[in-house]
Amino acid sequence: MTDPLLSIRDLTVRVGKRADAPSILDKVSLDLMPGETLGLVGESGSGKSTLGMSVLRLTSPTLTAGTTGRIAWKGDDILTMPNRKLRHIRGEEISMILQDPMASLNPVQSIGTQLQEALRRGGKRNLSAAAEAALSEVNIPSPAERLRAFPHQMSGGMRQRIVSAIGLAQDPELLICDEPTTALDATIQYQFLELLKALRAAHHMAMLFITHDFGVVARICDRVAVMYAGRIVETGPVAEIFARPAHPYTKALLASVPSTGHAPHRLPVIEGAPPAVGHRPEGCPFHPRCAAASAHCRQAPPRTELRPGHTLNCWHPQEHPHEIA
Amino acid sequence: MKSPDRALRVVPSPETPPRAAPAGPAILETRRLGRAFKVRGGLLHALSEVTLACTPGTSLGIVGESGCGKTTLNRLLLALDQPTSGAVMFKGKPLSDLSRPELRAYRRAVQPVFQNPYSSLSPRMKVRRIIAEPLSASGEMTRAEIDARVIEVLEQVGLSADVAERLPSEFSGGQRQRIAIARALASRPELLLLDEPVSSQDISIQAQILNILKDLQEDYGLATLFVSHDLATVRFMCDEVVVIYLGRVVERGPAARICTRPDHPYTAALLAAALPADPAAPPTATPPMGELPSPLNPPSGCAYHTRCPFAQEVCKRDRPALKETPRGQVACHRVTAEGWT
Ligand SMILES: Nc1ncnc2c1ncn2[C@@H]1O[C@H](COP(=O)(O)OP(=O)(O)OP(=O)(O)O)[C@@H](O)[C@H]1O
Ligand SMILES: Nc1ncnc2c1ncn2[C@@H]1O[C@H](COP(=O)(O)OP(=O)(O)O)[C@@H](O)[C@H]1O
Ligand code: SF4
Ligand code: SF4
Ligand SMILES: [Mg+2]
Ligand SMILES: [Mg+2]
Repeated sequence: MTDPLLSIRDLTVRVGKRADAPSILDKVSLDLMPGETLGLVGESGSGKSTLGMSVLRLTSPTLTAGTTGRIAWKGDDILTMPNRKLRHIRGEEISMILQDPMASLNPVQSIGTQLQEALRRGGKRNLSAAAEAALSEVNIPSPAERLRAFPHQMSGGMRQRIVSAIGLAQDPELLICDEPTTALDATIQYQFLELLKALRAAHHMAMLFITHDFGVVARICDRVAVMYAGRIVETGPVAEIFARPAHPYTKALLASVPSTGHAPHRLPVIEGAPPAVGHRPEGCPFHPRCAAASAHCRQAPPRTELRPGHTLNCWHPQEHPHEIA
Repeated sequence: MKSPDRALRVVPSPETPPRAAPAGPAILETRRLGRAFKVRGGLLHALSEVTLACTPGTSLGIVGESGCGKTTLNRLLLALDQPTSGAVMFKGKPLSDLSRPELRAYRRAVQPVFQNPYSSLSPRMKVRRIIAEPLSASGEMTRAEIDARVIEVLEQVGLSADVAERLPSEFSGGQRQRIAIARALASRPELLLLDEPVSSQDISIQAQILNILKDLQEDYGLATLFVSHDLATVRFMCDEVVVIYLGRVVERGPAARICTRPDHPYTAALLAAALPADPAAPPTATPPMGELPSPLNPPSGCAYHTRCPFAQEVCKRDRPALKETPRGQVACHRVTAEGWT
């Protein structure tokens, strides 16, 4: 078996150094294989972005000081490696695309200048031809003219494609996408996901895909990890998780998504809201909202492997498809 | 030739019981409504010849891509903007002809809820004042009546009475959207205009708010106009759907039919773009490709011909009229009363 590209073990991120400081992530472990796309889903505040940023040590200093565990990138621990090596990885091996493309673009520089700078860092020559080719690759019409344009002159979907072109300029082995399609409407989102799939194949990239949208997971991911209150509660192959979700939280989330295929009288909902940082309930953090909870659930649930690759943390796995929700 | 809906599945399932036929005359309707903006480079037709009606107890969905004119329509319906052709009518009378008391009745009867609850609620006002303001302004209710109404509408959206004494900043996005809905309900409106009311919310919160809106429709016979780019949400919320492309209506029909057997190739494309809730779902016929053309320079003939996989010569030349069919209305040269040709 090949070694994972990225292997995270017991990653805990606290707000500050003290051992009793509240944690945003609590003992998160996951593996990502070369070329694989792993989806990270969960409600807002569950810690998805913190996890994504931690991989590049890009969290704020308070959080960096409170980070423990291990993030092995091709065997080397990102958390302890020297800055020089980390800069190399950030520049050439791992790229990131964020939800708001404006946050990653310089508003007063032309698209061409920003793209050429990224290509130069990626070691490319003949920058203007390479920049034009990079824009064509992300389906920007009339790329030569677009190079002279500024970010505000483009639509949201186009800006997101420009950011991808910049992210791909260095031919990364891993692309971390943090909700890149959340601000886009359905058609543009569809086109952007199709584009990412083509780019993933062309560049043989692995992807860590952060989203709160199961539809996006269905379109682009191989495996999915469901997060709740800073923990991964269920993980498995996408087809398996959709067909046989076993964690009550995953099941309830999937059931609450409207579909074009049929309209129920009411949508099944999860009442209440996820806990804030520092207020994670004892035991299973989902117990105050869980329809299947028992007295056991006030103690930390065990990790169970239901089928190869499909694991969950729950006292009462819902194996029967119609048990709840 | 392939039909645009060939691979769409119809999932049999317990459905919402059909609602009573639309009762009474329209609350708000548009007649060949149009809005053109003067911009550098000419006239931008953001909306053209849109005719629709919001009747008591029904929910109408407006669907289309970003930039197709949904918000422009919403602003015209709210009299936040004036049409350049056609008219918006409140109970049969154009908004421009309403007398002062009629205008007050319109302002009370038609209430908006916007996409972003962060910008639509004043941060320094207590929730009580936010909700009571339109009621106090009308001067028709006593202080005690207003206080009782505030509590009543908070309960209708699933919030407790003590919320009234707090500031919007103390609440999450989902709770703020409930507060915004409560404010809209305060004046006992007949019609809610909802512009993407859940698209900035988390999934579990979306489901909670959609259910609240559905309760309001059914329990109080509230009419709603629901603007969205998400067909799945529209399927859940609406009886009827109007699909808009570059400012024009291209298809209209019952939500269940539009979302399973669309007539217009653009509707089929939107449906193909709607994200699957299930990765095992079969691929749909016509994924939407290419950019939305500039509304400043719309394509000749059928405006969709530059992206339509079924376009023929006639499509580049003549604009298809919006025709009645047994299934609804459609503007496409290749769809007849019998169906796809
Ligand atoms: N005040 C204005 N001046 C010039 N053009 C305008 C103005 N308001 C809207 N437009 C144009 O009219 C068209 C329709 O815009 P509108 O905001 O109604 O779209 P929308 O369907 O609501 O899109 P979204 O889904 O992004 O909210 C767009 O091309 C837009 O740029
Ligand atoms: N620097 C920080 N200091 C304190 N709390 C933070 C910091 N960064 C993030 N958080 C909190 O951590 C939680 C998880 O945040 P985030 O990773 O952004 O979640 P997600 O991406 O899943 O929405 C949130 O409650 C957020 O407010
Ligand atoms: S451990 Fe208990 S509370 Fe937690 S998800 Fe499982 S059944 Fe629900
Ligand atoms: S009229 Fe022609 S171009 Fe327009 S949607 Fe119909 S087939 Fe396509
Ligand atoms: Mg985030
Ligand atoms: Mg809009």
